[in-house]
Amino acid sequence: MEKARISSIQLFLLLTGFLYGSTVIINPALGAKNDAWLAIILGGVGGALLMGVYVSIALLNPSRTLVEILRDRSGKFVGNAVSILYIWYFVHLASLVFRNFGEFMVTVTFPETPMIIVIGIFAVILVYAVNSGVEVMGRLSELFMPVVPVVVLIISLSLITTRDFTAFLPVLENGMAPVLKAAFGFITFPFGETIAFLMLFPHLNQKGNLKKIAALSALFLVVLCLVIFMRDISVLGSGLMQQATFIPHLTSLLIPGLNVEPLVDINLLIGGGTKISVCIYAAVKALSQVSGIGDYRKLTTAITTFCVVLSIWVYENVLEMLSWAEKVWPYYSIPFQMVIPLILLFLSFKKRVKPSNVRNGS
Amino acid sequence: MAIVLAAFIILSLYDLQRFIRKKEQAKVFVIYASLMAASLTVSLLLAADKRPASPAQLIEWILKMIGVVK
Amino acid sequence: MKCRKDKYAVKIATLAVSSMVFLLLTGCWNNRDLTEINMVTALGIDRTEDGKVLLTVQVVEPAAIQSTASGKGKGGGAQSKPVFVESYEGETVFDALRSMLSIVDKKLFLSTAQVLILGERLSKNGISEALDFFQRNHEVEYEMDVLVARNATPKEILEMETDIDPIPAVYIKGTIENTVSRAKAKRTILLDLIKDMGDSGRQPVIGQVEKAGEKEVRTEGAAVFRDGKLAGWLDPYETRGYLFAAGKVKSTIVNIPADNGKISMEVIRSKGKINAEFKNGEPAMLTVRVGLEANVGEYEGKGKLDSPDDLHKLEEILGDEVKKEIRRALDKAQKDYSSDIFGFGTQLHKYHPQYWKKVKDDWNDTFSKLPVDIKVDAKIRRTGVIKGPIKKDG
Repeated sequence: MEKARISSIQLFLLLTGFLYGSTVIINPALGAKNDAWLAIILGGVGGALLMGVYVSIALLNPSRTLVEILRDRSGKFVGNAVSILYIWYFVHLASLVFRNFGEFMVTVTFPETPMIIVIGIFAVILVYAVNSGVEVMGRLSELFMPVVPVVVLIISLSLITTRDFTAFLPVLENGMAPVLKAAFGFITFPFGETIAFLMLFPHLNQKGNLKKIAALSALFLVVLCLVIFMRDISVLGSGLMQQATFIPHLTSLLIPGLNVEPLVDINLLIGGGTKISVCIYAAVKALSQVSGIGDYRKLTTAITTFCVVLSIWVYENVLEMLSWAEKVWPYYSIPFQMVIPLILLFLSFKKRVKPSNVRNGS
Repeated sequence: MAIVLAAFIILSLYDLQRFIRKKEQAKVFVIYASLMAASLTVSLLLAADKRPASPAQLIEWILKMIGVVK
Repeated sequence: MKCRKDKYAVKIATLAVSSMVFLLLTGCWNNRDLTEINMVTALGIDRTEDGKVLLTVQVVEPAAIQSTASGKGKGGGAQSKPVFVESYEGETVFDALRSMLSIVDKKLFLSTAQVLILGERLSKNGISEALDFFQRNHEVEYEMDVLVARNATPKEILEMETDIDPIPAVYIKGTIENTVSRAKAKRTILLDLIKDMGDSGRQPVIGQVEKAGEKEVRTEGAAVFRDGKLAGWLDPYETRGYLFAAGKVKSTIVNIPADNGKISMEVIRSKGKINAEFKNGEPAMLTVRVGLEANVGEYEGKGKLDSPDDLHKLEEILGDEVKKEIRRALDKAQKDYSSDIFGFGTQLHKYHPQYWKKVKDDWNDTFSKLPVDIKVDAKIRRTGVIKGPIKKDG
């Protein structure tokens, strides 16, 4: 096991960047239309609880990655089998974010550049980041993540004059059902995806802070999403917001006399980059542990290549991507994000209770 | 098509010479080769405009069979 | 030693590759220089008689602009005009735009377009279909001004050569921007139009542009739409009434009669609010509340203007005058066009969603039948450098 260590603040930034990730492009909470703010809050609470489950698993199995925990708790064969499923899940997730990123860039910034070039060049950089190790990824997030809220603030403040603050009314026009559905979507995307961090948690230098870090980053994301939502709906109005393919980009276009469009791209690069690199890291690390190869770096290129190919292969067009993320992804994710982790948590508790009775009965 | 092949050849040559120099275990080669082969097959099919059913469609289909997704 | 050299070589190679990547990252795939594009300054769309789209573009020639600006009167730039105007027919806007390349040399670049002029025939047939392209295309600026051409085709408006500005589009845009101090034309940017088109509780109103002679245009008044189709026009005063109710008046001059003459009031601040009063779950009355502040700008007459009471009297007259204009606009919207341009529907949607669900589909008809209560609260603050008009003593 490599001895790389990341600090609490680095993990917080990585986690926030991961959560922010591609919500710039696709935010399932927006399925609730005018009530998306409610869905964001509800989803945020649920997401924080879900992250609490992952953190508990990590705390109950100190210094163990997801693969090792799975093998410890459910036997070598089952553990490896489930781990391979998780490897697929991480690879799939990475390729989805690649595709989101490519689709965005090709639609709004480089309309005539082939998407594979955009994705490919991005992938080269990410392979480099992943191969440099967790410490470098942590330091990169320290360098870049502070830019994200600043950009959000810049765009929000520039538009303060052209707003209709009542645009989010009426409240609950279509009842609670769509809100709950969107909130559920928001839990699985992005909160549930932090399951990938179970491959990273062992690198944290102070284990005690884990719960606080997870809660803080969830809170941070909820606040950020609320600001973005309120900004977008008060500028665009709910009708146009539902029509827009990439909402924050459209909002940024409306700032009079100032072209801040690249700032949205930068945010996406930072968030998406963090997310993809964590996913690829998790996948490669898991693969190397499952197959018993010492150094994960050997397989990074292969996995990333596969991700890039998959990202092109996975959808035929942009609408398929958007509807898939909204309709299929949440349900597809349930076993990976909720069922298996809950079983794992249960197993970890059971195994812990027995020895702890003997060792520290106090 | 040629570009896809070239990209894959460059990538694998770069990695393989690294592996050979460090005398890696056989399983590294096997996993590496299978991943690359899978990627190459898909990308060649994509380049030839014969897009195989994507995993996304497969997953959607399975979920529809179970009945969670309409 | 050999190993170290190897590392050095690898480092150099990495540096070379990464600098190439940087080159790729910064440059656009489809980079085009200024000399390779045609900068479109204004667009006009209309329908032909057989339902096709007639697209007109006004393109600026940067080089010619420079020569007209520097060499005015010398006759040096006489042969090259600063802009050219071309029209082309197509099945759709995008089709026409691309097909136009058969008569225009360089690719048409839309991000610089500042004005979009809609033709009357297009407006009567419905504008939403033609507007799709402008929402969808990533080059189009959402801040572009939209106008409807009256008694002229967009082509005629765009072909006009004015002496006021070398680029007619800039001139047209300037006149519509002046509405902040006149309030007699509606200024609609593309974004607002798109928002209104997608809102079933509000119908769009677009500024009107017409020819005012051989070399000038006039932007005054507004076109009223209903369900995306041109329903009719508002004259300048009705437009102002509409703008007062919508709270969009920044400044304007309202003329009121006074003792032995007339006074021009300069409105300096104005707020408008619309609402609906509910009784038994149905709206019983629509309300318009306008509050405005004004200064005495000019007194053409012989009255006196010394005491606060004089001002209070004037305030009442001013309020009534504004109220009359709002009433006129409302009458037009309700009786003639049956189109809720004020956005009462949006207000209902926000605060009475249950009721709105019932009337959503035929709201414009319901709107036409509802009584409207208008209250205008005018305050006159200052009289300028002097108080009353100058007159001989006695």
